[in-house]
Amino acid sequence: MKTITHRYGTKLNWIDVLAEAMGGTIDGNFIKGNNALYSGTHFISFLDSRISAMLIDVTYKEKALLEYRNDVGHFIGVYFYILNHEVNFIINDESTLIGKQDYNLSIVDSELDLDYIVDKGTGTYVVCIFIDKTALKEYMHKIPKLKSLPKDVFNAEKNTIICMDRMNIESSILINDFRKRAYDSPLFEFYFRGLVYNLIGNYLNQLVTKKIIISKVMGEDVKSIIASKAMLLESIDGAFPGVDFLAEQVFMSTSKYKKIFTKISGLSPGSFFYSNKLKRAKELLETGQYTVSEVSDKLNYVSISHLAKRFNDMYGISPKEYQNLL
Amino acid sequence: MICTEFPLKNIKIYYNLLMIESTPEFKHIYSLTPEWRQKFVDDLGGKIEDKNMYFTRETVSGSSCFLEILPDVSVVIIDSVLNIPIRITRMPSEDDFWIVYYDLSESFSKHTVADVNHKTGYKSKLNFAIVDNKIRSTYLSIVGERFFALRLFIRKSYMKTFFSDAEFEKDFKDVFDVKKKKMFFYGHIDSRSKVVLHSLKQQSIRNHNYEFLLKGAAFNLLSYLIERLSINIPNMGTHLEKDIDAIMLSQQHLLSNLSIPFPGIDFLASIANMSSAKYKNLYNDIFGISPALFFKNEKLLLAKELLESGKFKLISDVAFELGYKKTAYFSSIYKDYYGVLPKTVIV
Repeated sequence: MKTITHRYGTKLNWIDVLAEAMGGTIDGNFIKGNNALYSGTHFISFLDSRISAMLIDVTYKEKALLEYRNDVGHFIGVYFYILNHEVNFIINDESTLIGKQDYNLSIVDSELDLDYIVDKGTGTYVVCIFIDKTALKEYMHKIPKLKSLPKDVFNAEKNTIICMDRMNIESSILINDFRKRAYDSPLFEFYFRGLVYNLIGNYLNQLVTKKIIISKVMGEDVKSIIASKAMLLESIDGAFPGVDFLAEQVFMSTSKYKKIFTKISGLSPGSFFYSNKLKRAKELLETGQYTVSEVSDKLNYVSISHLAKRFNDMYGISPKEYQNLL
Repeated sequence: MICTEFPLKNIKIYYNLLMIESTPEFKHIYSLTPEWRQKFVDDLGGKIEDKNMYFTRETVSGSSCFLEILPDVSVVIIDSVLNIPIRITRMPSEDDFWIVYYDLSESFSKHTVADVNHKTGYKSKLNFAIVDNKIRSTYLSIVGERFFALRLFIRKSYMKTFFSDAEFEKDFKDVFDVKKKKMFFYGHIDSRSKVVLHSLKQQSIRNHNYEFLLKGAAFNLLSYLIERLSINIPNMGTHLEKDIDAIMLSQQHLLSNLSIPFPGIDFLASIANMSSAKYKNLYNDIFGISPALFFKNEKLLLAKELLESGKFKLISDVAFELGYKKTAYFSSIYKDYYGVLPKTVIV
């Protein structure tokens, strides 16, 4: 198994290190490569003196061990993952799966050594945001509810900050929107910066509105809910199947289902379903291949006006207008 | 000018137009760096706290956030309520930059650029503008309603880097000729930007994460703007004062005559003094919808207000006020637009 060592930091030189480890070539802020190990692109952006970010969009052609060994311990990495396979994530010899069905957001102290094992054929799309610890502390201090948290989180002895979570729906929408951008667009960096700032803003908000899950093992229940969410997304074109039905499918009581679902997603099953439906409607409109009425039929809305009202509530613009002004 | 006995929003605007000369004026400048803010809060009444400004007088309340997102690009957002009429005039300043206006206010604001009046705001849809910092402009906001606007400041030399020299010389030279004082572009916010602004509008400037959301929004808006300019340059060059004024005039005519049926493209084109085909295209270019659809939408907006005003007992009265002969037809288009029948709204 090939071993690749990453050393991130807020200084530029880690780009050279990374490029060399991967066997890629540096082109401006990009590292591009296509060799026996992987094919794909890294993109690095230094947003300001305290925040930098990297996009990893690569597919591994053989099984590899990725080691993270940072020389500097003064930043926190926030990682948003979109993966096609599960990735084995090892910290202090305990392993956790990251992937479609499990966690897709992790917050990791740069002092920690991390290892990932990726299988052959794994496609990874990861947005990594590196925030200076003092900066993050400042931001968190502004949030009354989190004032007590940083003490533990930044405790060097406990060596703690490691938190596995699910990104919220806004974040996944942002990332999916961003994925449509072409790498060769002269505006790529602007879009990337926009994405990174929005993700940070969103995450800070998520911290306030949601209970923070700091645990390494995932309960079976949570897994069932995540599977159920995936199923909901697959049947997004149809009508909402109802919470009773969904709960029954994963052998849970309705109230328990609702409770865990809301905890993981920050949204009730119904809101989750309908906001994804609207997102789908927006995407269909963007293709330019459907009229509003076709979209409404396709997605099983009772009427165009119903779709229009919901669309307007969520996006502040009517579907027709949205299509016209594209 | 117009004569109707119920309180229309557009009447207020004309009223304000008449009042404009006697309204107290507040003068300020913008700059790419934060220096402009001190005079701004001193004169308007308020304080600066880090990146934010808070307006605390009874006359003007609200907040604002200013960020420098790149060495050559800054963004400011203003979310406030004016309780007395004020003319807000931006004076030209030394810096050589463009100001890109996005206005998502809840009603019309009146905007004067180089002495030509334009209305901007959520309903009028003419809510986007690019104006040279060297050209003076005036805003007259509606009293008592939420004013929500974002501006990007972009240094001209930086903007140039996104276009080839030839393009810039050909398409932008004239429009930015200071002596000619040509306004560059006035139109509607594109869909993608509107979605970004709408989601920003839901957030409070005081929120701990606002700085990030605003930066995120600003980078996206900047990208959309550059994309739009690179696609639309040839079109935009033609949207100059004379044509826009003519189109605006015809639109004002529509807004002043919401109680009659749609007068027809030919008639509107004759007001604007151009051919019907040109009129139609230009109108669509500027507003993103056809005159007929605009007219219908405005009628329905007014319909909602009338229904909620409590001054009408019957839906047929409202339908009649707005020039609809059949109440059933009115109800059905109302439902198409709002998703509910008028009878659920009437007070």
